[in-house]
Amino acid sequence: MQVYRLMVNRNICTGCNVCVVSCPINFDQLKHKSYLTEENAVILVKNGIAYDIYKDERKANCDGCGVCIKACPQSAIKLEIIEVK
Amino acid sequence: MKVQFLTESLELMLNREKCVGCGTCARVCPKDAISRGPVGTSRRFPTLEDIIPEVYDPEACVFCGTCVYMCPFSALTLKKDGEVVELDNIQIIKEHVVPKLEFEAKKLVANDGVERVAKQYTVAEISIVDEECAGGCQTCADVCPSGAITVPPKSDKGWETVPNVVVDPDKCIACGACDNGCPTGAVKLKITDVKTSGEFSELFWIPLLERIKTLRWSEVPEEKEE
Repeated sequence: MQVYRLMVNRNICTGCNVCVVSCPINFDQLKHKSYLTEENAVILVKNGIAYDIYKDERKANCDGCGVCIKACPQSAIKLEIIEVK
Repeated sequence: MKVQFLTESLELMLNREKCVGCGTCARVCPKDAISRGPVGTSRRFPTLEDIIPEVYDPEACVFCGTCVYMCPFSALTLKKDGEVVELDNIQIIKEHVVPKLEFEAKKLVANDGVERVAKQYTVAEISIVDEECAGGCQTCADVCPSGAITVPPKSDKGWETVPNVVVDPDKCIACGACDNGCPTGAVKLKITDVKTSGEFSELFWIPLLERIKTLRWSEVPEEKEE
């Protein structure tokens, strides 16, 4: 099984929230809960810089769709693969 | 671009230009050596070398060639001692373990202009659950090799509602790339028939037929609700 992590370049991220809004998994989670927290979101903005959240125990993690990478106006995100056996 | 895997003298090669991430190889693999990778990212950024649509486990692979035979885009090739093994020389086809696939080769033009040749041997119904669709992520339209899925632009008149995704069933070749690529599981493809002819081994082909009809990714949200 593969796990995807989103690496955010902290020097050029402006914290514009485009990645948080564009993420389809975040949208999926908003159907169960009306707001995004660290518990259910995949990517969030904190202190003006986006960061990704991976939790082993939950089902909805980053899917590797690449929507945020394409949407990011600064091209600050890249996908990294971590293999888990 | 080619991604190469090496185990002793046998190689399984994936042609990145031809592969659309439909997941057929992952579904048919009898050893579960292939699994779903980051489909959306790999199709959007085809130059990234380490991000491939299908994840391959060389330790589990037995080099049976089922994936090579079933791949609708002929993206996979099997190599033995550096030489390409022809389709007819693969053991399972030689000994009539799998039946002959009845397909017609179709020329496809994707939304981004890439041309491919595909063999369509399945019949499927495609449906989109609008409630689950995130709307505007466009992964299905980017992934579709035949340009059957389009995302319509917003209407000039604000009071007219436009569907998130429009499917042209005549163009659809039932490969399953949209189902495999959709991050939220809103696209559901139901494979109803696989066209085949000729003799086959019941032990091998019948469970395989069941597996090819089971699109794994669309099952995930159903489990979540239980």
